Amino acid sequence: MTIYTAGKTVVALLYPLLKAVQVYDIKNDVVINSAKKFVEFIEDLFSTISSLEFVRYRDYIFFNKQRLKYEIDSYANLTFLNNQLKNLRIKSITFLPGINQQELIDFADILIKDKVTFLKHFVLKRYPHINVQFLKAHEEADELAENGEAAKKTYFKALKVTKNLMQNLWTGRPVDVKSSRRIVYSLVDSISRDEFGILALTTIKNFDEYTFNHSLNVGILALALGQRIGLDRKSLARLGTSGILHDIGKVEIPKELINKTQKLTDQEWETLKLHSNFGVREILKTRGLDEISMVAIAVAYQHHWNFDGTGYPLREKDEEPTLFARIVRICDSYDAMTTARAYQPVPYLPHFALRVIWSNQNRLFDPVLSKVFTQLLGIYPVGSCLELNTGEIGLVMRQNPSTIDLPIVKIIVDKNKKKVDGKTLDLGMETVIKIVRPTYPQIHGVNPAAYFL
Amino acid sequence: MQGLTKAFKALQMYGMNHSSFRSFYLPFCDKMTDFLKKRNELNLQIDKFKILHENHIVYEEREMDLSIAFKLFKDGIRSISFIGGLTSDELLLLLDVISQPSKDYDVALGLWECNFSHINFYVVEEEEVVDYRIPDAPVEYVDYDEKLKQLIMREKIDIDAVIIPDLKPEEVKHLMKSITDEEKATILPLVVKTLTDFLSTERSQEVIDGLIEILESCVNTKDFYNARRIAYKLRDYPEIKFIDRFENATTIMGFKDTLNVPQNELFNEFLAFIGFFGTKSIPYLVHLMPHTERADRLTALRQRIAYIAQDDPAPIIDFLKNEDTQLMINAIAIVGIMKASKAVEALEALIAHPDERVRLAVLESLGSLRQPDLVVKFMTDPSMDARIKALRILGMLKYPQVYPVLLDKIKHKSFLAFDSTEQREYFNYLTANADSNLVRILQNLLFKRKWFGRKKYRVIRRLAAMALEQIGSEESLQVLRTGAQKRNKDIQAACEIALKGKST
Repeated sequence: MTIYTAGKTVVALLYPLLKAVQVYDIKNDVVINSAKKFVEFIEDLFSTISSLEFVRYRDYIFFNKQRLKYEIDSYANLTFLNNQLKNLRIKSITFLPGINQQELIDFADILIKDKVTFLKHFVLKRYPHINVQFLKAHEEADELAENGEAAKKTYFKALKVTKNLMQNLWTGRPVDVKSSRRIVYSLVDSISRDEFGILALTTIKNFDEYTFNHSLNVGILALALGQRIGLDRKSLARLGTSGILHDIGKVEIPKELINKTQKLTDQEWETLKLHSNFGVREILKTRGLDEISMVAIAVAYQHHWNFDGTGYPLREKDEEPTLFARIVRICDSYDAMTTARAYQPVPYLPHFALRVIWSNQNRLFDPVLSKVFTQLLGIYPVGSCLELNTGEIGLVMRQNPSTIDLPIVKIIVDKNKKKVDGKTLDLGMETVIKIVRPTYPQIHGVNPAAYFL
Repeated sequence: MQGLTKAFKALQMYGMNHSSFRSFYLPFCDKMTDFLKKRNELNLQIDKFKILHENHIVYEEREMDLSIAFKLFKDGIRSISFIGGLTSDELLLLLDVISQPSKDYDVALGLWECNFSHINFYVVEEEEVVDYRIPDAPVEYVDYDEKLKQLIMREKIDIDAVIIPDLKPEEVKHLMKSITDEEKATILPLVVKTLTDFLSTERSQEVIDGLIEILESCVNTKDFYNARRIAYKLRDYPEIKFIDRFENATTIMGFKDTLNVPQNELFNEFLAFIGFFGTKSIPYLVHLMPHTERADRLTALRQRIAYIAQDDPAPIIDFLKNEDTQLMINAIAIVGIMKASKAVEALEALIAHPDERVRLAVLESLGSLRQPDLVVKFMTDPSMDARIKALRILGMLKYPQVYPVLLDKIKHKSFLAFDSTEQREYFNYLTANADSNLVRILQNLLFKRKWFGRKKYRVIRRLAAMALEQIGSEESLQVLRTGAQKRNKDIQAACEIALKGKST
């Protein structure tokens, strides 16, 4: 067994134990059996490895120096472990030979608690076969600040690159291919460092320059979804580029048509539909023909192909959209629905747009990807405004990996309808505060994007 | 750094699979691992032509193509660090990236794609963006609650439905398969399909140029499946001479290996692709043919060239005068397949060619061209194979004019000296061109009294009996039945064998 597989298995065995101690008493059979399985497995490992060390570094989990990738079958386990370690400010945990079931259960029991409780119990009780190292204050602050700042920097740089790319195409000027490639790589890095940090920035919408922000947002959403399903870096780079370039054919559609506020005539609609075809030509103009551009060409052409065989441009009966085109199809629809545009001045609420996607799976959208997309964004996606039973308005800042309908919110409007810089609440941990309903931020005079900058 | 330099140079010179590269690479790995065991980290600063460690120059090379420092520096890499746990695979990937020969290759992106766990690098950003302004939302009065109700009505969705997005095991499996398929699948067929579909709706120079670019790449990589699909589409644009670029000696002789690949599919795709070639390519294709090892493929290639030359056989006919026998033979075969009547004169001139292979090819083609008058000339060819072949062709062509001549030959005593195969062919010809008198003639040959040379004549009796059996009429079978009752043992045996053949 490789170190990587061993690490993945250890996390996969630790996760049910942590979930069990969350729900049951530590003397419950479920807890005991989970601990037994874990101990049996690591005892075998100790015959070849002297210690099992988990290190958390910038949302990555390393097992004995091997980075464990977030894959579809390990995503929940790793995310949970990462969040627990992050919340408790733990830098590393090392399991040593000799550990028994009871020591493990006791440790698991405090690992799911809050930071203060964990520290209290960890200091009071001895864990002879478990070593824990904590983040130093400056490391923690640096990490948060670094992630946030890096995400912003990447987003705005990517926006600038996207804008330049499209404007140069409009005006027939040469395109800087190298920058556009590199920015996608930065986006991939940003997503893998802190998914929610950059996802939050997709709440930045631009009514006047819809196409630029929309293109970038689709690229970011596609990358986040791609990462969730376990695509490797190379594939993510191709997916991100395809997401950004999916609507590039619109540069050939008259602006009056794109900005038309009334209902389009049949003829105008047919013209607009041509943007999928035009995208092919524009990508050829921009990038020449390398592998990345070939993938982007296919996605630009297929991104309005529906899961049930309908959509445009017309296709042969047995032709199916590629995985990337199916991803972009979902992300494109979601961002388009949640953005105010000329013919849709009031956008859909994020949670509502997500329900539209959910209810159209199998028809318009790939059902499995729709599910993963919902897991990714949560029932109330980042940037949603929620009316709480306290009368306050909370802005969704992050998802809770274990409770997708109870996100982490920041209070931005108090019960007297005054804008405030309120506290951050983990609704998953709250027993009294409940969500009443999602609400339009405009009603409260707030722009969600502003809170992420 | 010395180890890295040596391994880098060896990789550039010999490639990754060469033993010389490994002899430099493995010690480099060991040194690196030893260093990291002691120090846990190695940080290197990259300058234009120099690499520094703790402010000391540890590497310097001012020749751009050879300089590791320059290769890293030009793409913005300013530092690189190796940390404990570094694996030999990671070092190999690193070397592979920095030794990429293309000037357009972005080393920073290459390193990024490797996703190293134990190698970090820092790349300078070209430009910083500090303006984080967000656009204002449009201000207008809207009854949002009312709007939401309208949207719910429009979308016809249950806003309170419970959503459980957990994946079932089979869905996870399906997704994993989709990902593997996507990673394995080559994008080229899809792009070709997309671009050709595009052209079905609209003519676009960019798309045509793109297809031609892909076509060139397909031809270079011997991907004739996609090349054929592109060529088929581009044929709709006769003004675009997309095949011209391949109709030269270098490209066509470059197909040599394809002729003998083990996969028939690839060979057939190649044949299909060259079907788009024009007359200009014929001389090169004829020169390519002798490299074909398999007879069936040579035949297929001849047929394909015949197809290409169908409108103008002149370039092929030119090869009938070529000094190279192999080229000449292939050209003779092709004019036969083409049924190029213009080639008859040139073929006639080759009837007496000293090389038997040439004469046989000429004979075959004259047969295809239905030229029995010329085929007859081979009846006196010094080669028995040619004579036999001529008889077969004449039989097929139903050419009765030569019938009396052959009969005389059979009756002549010299016929007994012929090889049995040739003798049989004479009789085959007779049956192929049978007339009402033939049964009587064969009967005479079968029942002829022989006082001398009975043993040798036994063959004639048997061939006559077989010919009667082949004719198969009531009259001819009656002759055989009568013969079977004769007291002459030779006649009896010949007839019984023939009748036995009939019954089986």
